[in-house]
Amino acid sequence: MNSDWARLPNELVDLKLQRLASVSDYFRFVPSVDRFVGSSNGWLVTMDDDLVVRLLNPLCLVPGKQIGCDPNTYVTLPPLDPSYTNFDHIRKVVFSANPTSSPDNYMVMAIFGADHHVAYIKPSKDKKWTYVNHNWGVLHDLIYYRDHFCAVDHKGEVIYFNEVDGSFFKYLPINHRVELENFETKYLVESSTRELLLVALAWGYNYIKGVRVWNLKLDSKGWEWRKMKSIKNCALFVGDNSSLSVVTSNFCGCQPNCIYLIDDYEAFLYASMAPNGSYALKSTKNVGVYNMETRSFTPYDTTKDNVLLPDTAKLGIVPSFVTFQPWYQVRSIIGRKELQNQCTNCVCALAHALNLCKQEGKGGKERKVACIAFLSDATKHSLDKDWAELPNELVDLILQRLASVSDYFRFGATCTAWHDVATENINYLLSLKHPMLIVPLNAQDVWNLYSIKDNKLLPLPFQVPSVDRFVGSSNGWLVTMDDDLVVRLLNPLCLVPGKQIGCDPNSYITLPPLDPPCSNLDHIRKVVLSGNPTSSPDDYMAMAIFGVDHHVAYIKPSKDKKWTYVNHNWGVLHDLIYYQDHFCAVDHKGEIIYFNEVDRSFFKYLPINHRVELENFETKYLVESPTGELLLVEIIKRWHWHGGYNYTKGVGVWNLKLDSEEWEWREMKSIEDCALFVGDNSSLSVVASDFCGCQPNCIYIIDDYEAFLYASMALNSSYALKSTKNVGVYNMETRSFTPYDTAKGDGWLAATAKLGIVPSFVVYKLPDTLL
Amino acid sequence: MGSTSTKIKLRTSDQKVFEVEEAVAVQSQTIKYFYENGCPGSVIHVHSVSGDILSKILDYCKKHVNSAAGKEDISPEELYEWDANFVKVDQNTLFDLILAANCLKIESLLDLTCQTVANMIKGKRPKEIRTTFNIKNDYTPEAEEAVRRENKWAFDMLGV
Repeated sequence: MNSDWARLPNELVDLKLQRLASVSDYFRFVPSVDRFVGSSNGWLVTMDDDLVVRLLNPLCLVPGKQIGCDPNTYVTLPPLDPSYTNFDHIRKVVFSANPTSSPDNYMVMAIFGADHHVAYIKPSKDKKWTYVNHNWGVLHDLIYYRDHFCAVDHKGEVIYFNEVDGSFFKYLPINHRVELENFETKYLVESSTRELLLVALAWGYNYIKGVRVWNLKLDSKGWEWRKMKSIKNCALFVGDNSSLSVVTSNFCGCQPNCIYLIDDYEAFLYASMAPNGSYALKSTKNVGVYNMETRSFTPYDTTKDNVLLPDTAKLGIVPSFVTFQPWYQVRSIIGRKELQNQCTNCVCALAHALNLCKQEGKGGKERKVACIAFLSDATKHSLDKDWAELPNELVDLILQRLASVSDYFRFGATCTAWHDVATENINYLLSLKHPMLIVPLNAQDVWNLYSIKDNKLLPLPFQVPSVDRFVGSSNGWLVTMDDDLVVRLLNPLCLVPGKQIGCDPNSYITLPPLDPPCSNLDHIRKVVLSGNPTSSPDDYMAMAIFGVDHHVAYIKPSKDKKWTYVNHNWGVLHDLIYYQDHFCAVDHKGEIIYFNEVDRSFFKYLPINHRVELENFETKYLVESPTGELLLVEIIKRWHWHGGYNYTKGVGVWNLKLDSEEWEWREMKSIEDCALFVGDNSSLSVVASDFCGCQPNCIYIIDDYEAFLYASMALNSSYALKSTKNVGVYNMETRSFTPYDTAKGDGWLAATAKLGIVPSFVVYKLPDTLL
Repeated sequence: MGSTSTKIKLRTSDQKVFEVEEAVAVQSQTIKYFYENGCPGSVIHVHSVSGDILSKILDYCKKHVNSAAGKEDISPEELYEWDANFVKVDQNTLFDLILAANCLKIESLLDLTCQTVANMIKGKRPKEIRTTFNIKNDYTPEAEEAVRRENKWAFDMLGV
């Protein structure tokens, strides 16, 4: 069965994985490591000539970096130096948890020396190793299995270690109906189904005669090793330094029903006992693969090209392999916490680290080279399935289920076939330069984009904690205010569900709290930005109107440490807009107040011609029309005496005309092909014929500040908006208003109606450039 | 119903024959179409699906039919968990499941499998996605660099 190993090599060394290259470079500078003495939880263990035990995280190693004190990369344990025995090699080191994620709790246990002594240490607490004087048989192997260290002795009995009191005990007597050979080398391996397996090597004269496998069964009376004729689709990697099992269908690099013997402690032990004292392992017959079906063993042969690991075979020596499973919770491996949740999906990568010693001439320094090769994951080597060939419509389905636009881009960067699908989708989204609505989803704090154009939800959910209303939407950013009055800008395209609010300036910008001395504020009506914080971080300005009596404040985040509060003597300000390079506000009389960014003054640009009568007390909004005109929308609310609520009685629209001398609001009987989306937090206009989600000549009222204001003033002080009669659609032709009705499925935004509450919608428009 | 329910015979690409309850089989819109428009009692040939995959898919359909019909006492949460376990398969099987769900037109399974793949992609770098799905990087270095440059912020988020 030479072909077993022959298949392995081509896939084995994947130099594309740069982090592996860094490992190999690193090890050029590690003195005196000829064998890894353990591999647990994504860490490798070495012991140097001074008996110092060191844990290394190979994925955090950087070329040329010296052994340092970065605890993510190196952990140095006290020397293993028992007084009662003379030893120079550790057989195996196992730890109970990941030193990165559980620095205070992990425990390390080692078996060492020719007669297999045991020692343990809890690095967070202990200054030195505790050496165990035991009276059991020779311990053959050690494993951390189901939250316990357990060892196996030469009779096959399992000894458990109690972490609490530091005692060892045989958990239950092993039923000895199955005869185990006392002198066979025994290994413990956890199977892929989490059973405990015992692997025993039967020796002929210095060669492996056979390999047998048992699994541990718990009977009513005791534990029993039950012999397995076959391990079926499993492959075991068994070594004196570490062992593991894989399901071979996931790993095309290995054959089912085979046991790969990868590390031979005794060969090293005897090599170092030899007169020349060299650590280099010239040969061993004990590394190779045993096939359970044919009952034959094929040793690793460095003289053949087509054997196991040809890249290593040409080195001319037999390396000490070690299995390695990256620990996906190590942040620096993945660089991203979110993947923690995806551990199960993450490919279980199995790597072989090998190192070798190479004599460089007589008396020359030993130069050590190590390389790591991924035997790889389920997927990478399952050569028969090429995901790039998945039909486009299916790729499309997958893409649509991604969480964020940034995922789209990375997805598209994978290969050209997927790039085409991603580009198509991204272009579609960007073509939505057209406005969207932000609507809440059922899930807690999750919002989604709703395409008005197609009248459907877009697959781009994002999460914003503790927000019941957005207080603004400009230039592709949303604005929120939290309970501490902190104003925050969010880029929904960069948000990912589950991601915490961080300091990534592409996703979040935190502005100083809006805390005016003159007024008690608990709600912002609207925040408007003059530019895109991403593309103009130094120039953009934010302006807010807030409080029941509509105060104004502004800030230039690049310059100002706090908001500037404006004491004005105009009427009550109803709305604020950034129109033709100026902030402008409208007061209750319909007069326009401009803000001069240069000297930070406000002024009425030109007197408004008051030929048209505007109702002083009706809510007024400013909207820019699709043709760039400034529109004034007045929503006439009346108190419903019987119902006890405000209702929308009518809507008037004016557009601003510049006569020769004066400005004039001219009433529009119809807005024709336009539809306006008007809200206290943001407004915009669209050409209705381009948007199948909306009707022409209609005004969609999407956000009701007062409803939130009064809701929060109510006794229960709940921010949740159970109902409002003021959100809905007003038809300019029929002069009728249809409230948003959560009881009807056929209204506008049918997909959101089933939420049972009236959400605070906000219009959202992507900036012209994403950057 | 029970034992008296009609059975539909399906033959897979590897010539395995399955006898399936009607209610289970017609979860597939494709099978339903052939069943309703074909000769009664004839074997429906499922060309593009292997026996292994079909048997898995039928497990899925059966579970969902039984749960919907109340034959099996299973809460939505349990069913959700069952689904989650159902798609814990290697990527080859997942690949086949997606193709099969698509051609058999089983909407909920297609949704489940695609969502699973999407979850595996979320937050990953292109390199990691390639690794996970055995995708060959067919970009030229220049083209790849251009793609990265275009969408720098998407990559910056991962600290790549």
